[in-house]
Amino acid sequence: MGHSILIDFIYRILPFRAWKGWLLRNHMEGCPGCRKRLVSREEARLLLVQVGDVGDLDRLWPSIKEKLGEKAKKGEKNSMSKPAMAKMWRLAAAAVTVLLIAAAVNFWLFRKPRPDTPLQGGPSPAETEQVQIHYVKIDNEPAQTFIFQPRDSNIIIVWAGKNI
Amino acid sequence: MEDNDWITACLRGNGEEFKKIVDKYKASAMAVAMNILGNREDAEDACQETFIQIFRNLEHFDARLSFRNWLYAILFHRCLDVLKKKRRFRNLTSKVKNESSGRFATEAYNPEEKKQLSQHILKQLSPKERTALCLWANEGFTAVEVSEVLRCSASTARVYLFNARRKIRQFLEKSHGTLDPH
Repeated sequence: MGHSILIDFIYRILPFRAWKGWLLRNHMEGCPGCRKRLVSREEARLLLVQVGDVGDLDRLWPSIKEKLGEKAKKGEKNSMSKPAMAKMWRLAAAAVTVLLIAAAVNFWLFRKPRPDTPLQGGPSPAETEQVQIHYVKIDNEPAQTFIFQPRDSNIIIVWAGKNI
Repeated sequence: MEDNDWITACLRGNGEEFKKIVDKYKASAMAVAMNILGNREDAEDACQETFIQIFRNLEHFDARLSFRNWLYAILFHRCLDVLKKKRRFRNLTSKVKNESSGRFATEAYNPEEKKQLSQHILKQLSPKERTALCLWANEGFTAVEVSEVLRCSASTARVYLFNARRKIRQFLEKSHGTLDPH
């Protein structure tokens, strides 16, 4: 009795199933004292439903056949299996996401600056008369010049500033 | 070898050969399912789903392994699915009943009471313990074979089986019940 209690205690304190399994294999399965504390195969059978207890199973095959037929018909209509469909949807979602990210990056990185900046957004020189300034001097010194045309306007503003 | 011949015939498009597989295993599969699930309707559903799944996945079966173990592994997982669904439903409806123990102490049982006693004792076990016990006692499985069905290590299967056997013994000792078949 003391032996069984000791073994039972050791079994309980072992932290891993692998260790418990080792104890079971190497001691408890062979020890008559320990086996006494377990229900036998014959006793267990008395508790369990046996093959002879399951009764009539004639309905099983027709219902399986019917379901297999239904699934086959569904399969013909929709030849793709569920996992294949799921894979396809995942791929489609990934492709759409990549396209959206690419579009966003393209928009933010390569967008044109607003046309209200000096000379860049205006009409091309071929379309309008060209304004050219060869040089501007202030106090006999070369000056900084800016030519600015507001959007939708014919006014051209020429700005000259002294170099500091 | 017989199983593999039938599987080969099924894969060649002879679906009727599958009936032979169903006929061979339906009773033992049903017994295992009833032991795990505790009622006939759920067990029938689980068996049906299992055979359908097997038919649809026959091409993935590795002929070097045991077909019987593969079948029981699928059945075990279908039964777990049924139990999970039932648990979810029970949680939803909050109708959990705790059946009292002790009613079986030292009574003489008629067959119906014996059945109830068996069900009550089996309910003390986890689904994995019930499966391990059922395969070991009814089918004569070893711990290694049980581990193939439960998809765990042999040590773990041994622990499930040991726990099941010990829990039943303790329950019987506590309630002074016997499992005398006569």
